[in-house]
Amino acid sequence: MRWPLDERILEVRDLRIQFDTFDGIAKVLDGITFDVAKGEVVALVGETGCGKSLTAKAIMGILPPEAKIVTGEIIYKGIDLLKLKEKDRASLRGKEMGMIPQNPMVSLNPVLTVRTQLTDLINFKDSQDVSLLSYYLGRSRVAEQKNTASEATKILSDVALDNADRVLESYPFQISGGMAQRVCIAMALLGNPSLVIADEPGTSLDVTIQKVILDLLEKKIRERGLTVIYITHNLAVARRSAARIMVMYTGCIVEIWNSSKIFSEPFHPYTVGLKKAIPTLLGTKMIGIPGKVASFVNAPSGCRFHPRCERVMEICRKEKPPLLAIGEGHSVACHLWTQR
Amino acid sequence: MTQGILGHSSGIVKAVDHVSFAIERGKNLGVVGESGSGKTTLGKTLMRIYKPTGGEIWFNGEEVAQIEGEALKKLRRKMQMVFQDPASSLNPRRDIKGIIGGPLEVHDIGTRAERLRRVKELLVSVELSEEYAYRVPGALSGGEKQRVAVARALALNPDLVVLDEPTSSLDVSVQAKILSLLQRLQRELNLTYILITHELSVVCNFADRVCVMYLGELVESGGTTEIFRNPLHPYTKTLLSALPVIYDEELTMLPKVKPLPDSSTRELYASTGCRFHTRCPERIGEECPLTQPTMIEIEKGHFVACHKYS
Amino acid sequence: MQPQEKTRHWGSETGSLARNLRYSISLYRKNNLAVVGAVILFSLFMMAVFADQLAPHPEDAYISHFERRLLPPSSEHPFGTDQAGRDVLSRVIIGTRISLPTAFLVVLVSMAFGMPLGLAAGMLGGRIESLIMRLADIWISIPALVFALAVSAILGPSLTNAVIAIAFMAWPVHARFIRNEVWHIRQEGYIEAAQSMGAGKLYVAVREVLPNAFTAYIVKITTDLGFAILLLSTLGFLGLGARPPTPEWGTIAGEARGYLPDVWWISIFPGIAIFLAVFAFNVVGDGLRNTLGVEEI
Repeated sequence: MRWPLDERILEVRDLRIQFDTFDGIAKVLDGITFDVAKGEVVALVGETGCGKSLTAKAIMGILPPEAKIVTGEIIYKGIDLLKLKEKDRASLRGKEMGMIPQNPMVSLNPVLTVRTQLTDLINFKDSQDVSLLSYYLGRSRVAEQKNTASEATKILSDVALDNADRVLESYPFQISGGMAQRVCIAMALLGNPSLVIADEPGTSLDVTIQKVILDLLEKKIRERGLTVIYITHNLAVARRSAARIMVMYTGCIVEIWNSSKIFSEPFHPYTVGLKKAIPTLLGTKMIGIPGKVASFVNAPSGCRFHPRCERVMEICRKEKPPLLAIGEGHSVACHLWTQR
Repeated sequence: MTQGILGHSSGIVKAVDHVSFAIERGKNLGVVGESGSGKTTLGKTLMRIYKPTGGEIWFNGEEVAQIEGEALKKLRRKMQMVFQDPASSLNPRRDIKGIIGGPLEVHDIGTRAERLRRVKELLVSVELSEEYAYRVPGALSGGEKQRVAVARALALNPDLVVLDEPTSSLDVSVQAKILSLLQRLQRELNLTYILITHELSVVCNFADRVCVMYLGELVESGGTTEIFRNPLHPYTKTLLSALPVIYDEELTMLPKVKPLPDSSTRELYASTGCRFHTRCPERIGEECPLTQPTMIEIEKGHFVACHKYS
Repeated sequence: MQPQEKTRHWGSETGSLARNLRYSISLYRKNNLAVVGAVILFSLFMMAVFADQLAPHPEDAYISHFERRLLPPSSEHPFGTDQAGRDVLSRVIIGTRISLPTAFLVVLVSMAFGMPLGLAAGMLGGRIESLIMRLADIWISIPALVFALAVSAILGPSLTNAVIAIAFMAWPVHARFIRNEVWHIRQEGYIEAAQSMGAGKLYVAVREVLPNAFTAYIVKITTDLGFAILLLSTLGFLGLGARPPTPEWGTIAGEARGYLPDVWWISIFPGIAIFLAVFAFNVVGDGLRNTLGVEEI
């Protein structure tokens, strides 16, 4: 479903990314297309290695150097990001788009205190290319120090870290995973971005802490009217945190629908397979999907899911099904629809 | 296997303290807890990887908590473990036949040819083809590695298998396959499982009895359906309420408890009193920080350690 | 806890031996110096094997021709002749037969002592480990060269005694290295798995730990070989190792040092040979580290 032009904050069009590996060319992203409307909370969901983190990195512009963007557009607020110079792209990071990283403990610099990392961000968020001299000069200006110190405390209490002073003085290894995650959230929201990408939030945390973090994120999203893309392999988290879910398999988006409906009435055989595999409290039997995840180097022809599909047809081996709308807010990339 | 009191203290930290439970042959026990709960330590202590500092372990009618030497080696043939991270539990420099055949080698069972045959048998029983015997772990996917780990655990025909987070590092579709494999093997080989995990939804579908642990202590135990239907301990309720679920029908089944503050520091290893009291939403008073609650049977088979019920 | 399937490795999953070999070679080739080093080592090895065919005057290893002594480099004697009229080029080529095998021998002997001790220290821990490590500490604090000099003084200078001296000195480094590797490897999950199936310390040490220690060990051994050559030739140069007329590189260079700087070719060419050998070993060791250090297949 296409949102009206001015409501779309992000459009990804036919994004294709490949890697040169020893065994051949790995076509990782094979034509990713989706829209995100302003203020929406969507989840990009898929099992490990399906390319969802890579998509997030492509949007943020932090792809590894080996990644080759073959074609595609990433249009943010009307501008194609892939056509921008790196300088311009970098200025967007933090101020327009923020990312909450996957594992907060490794995303914080282990040799700097939380205070230093936060205040550095506060002081230098508006500057481009900070030279070493200006960095040290900036750090020593006492008057600014006082301001940024109180701002740091404010920012931390904003993410429900009450013992802010203790946390500020600590090094990352001295705080718990939940606190580190909150610091990362605070850092991501510092620049007042419009779009936030949350990469596997809470995955490295205990489930009780994860709930706290997810609730906190929900609150911040409401308060600031953020647009959020959750990247996760945890289907239940996606269901509870996002309004719309996009299911990915081996570099392709196979189904998009509202989170309240997609698992009750899945259309794409992969989504159906996922649904049958999820452990529930209702005593349903868990059934896996036969076969192995497809390799990117010699990806299956046509539809990448066809070797594992229960309802495979001749055409599935030959042609890749396009992502088409099949209902209100519901799109599917499957020949069961094109051949209905 | 009947129960005993099990304590293991190393220096100042009491990793597992006063844990008692029992499981019958052919049934499954789930041990649930978050990080720091001591559930992995419990599993490894049962396997005698660690030696308990106190208490008893009764296995098949024999007390085995402190045995050593030949007797311990014999015991090992009867209980085996599948470890948490398949990538690190398989020796990257050995081939699969060496890994699965390892237990057979250690206990001097069979000739080389016989061992290879048994390895191939085991591979088939975990739904991998025989030619996997010649591969290296690095060439296998996570699900395949875990199957190899299961095959290795079954090499000696154990009675009991301890599964330490067997599917935590696997995707959901692979998890389902591994769990159904384990269930099939249980039926065929009359195995007993102890499943250690933090995922309640998995436990719900797999275990007959559940033990909930928090910071080294057992806080609640009972039949699975009973615990899910009527959780008694505040921690169990919190754990359940934090569980993200897909279907709204599940949501109605769960208790709603206010989320807890972080356990920010290790000082929560409170030396006296209930270990949960600093985060407990249902603290009742002075009892909680002072004395450790003892396990009481509230209904048949359903035990709780909480001052609310004593 | 999150799924840990290969996320960043988008390549194939067959992992056949042939493919892995090709992959390792391609990784090694990325380091140009390492390739150069490998070529040099291969050439030296070939020289040692085919010395008789390659050397223009193979008999000159030991036979003197005083009528042609001290001739500068020419087309007939590319490296000139030495003070006994022997063709320097031939002696250098034949010298590979002395230096290379001896260096291997030295390293082998150190390994024979150092590896089991290091393994025992790492696996057994406690007092045994402390004992072995303290012994190693003391041993290391004795300077190798001084010790070698002492051995030569007591037992008389010869190649055999030089080997004994160097190997004797080198074992603590091996022991320490292996002990450290063992310490790291013991943290791994598969060690616990082996213990839980009832494996004793010996089984774990030999079947589980050692194969994993070997990748790093091979790199160390390669660099050690270079060092051994250096040490051997130093002793030879000082007259304490291989005695003349043995065409060991250091000995050749040392014999003629009185003639420097006018008659430079007798000392310089063996010196270059030493340099090339040591350089090659070091650089190959580096290349191997990059190749073997890679965990993914």
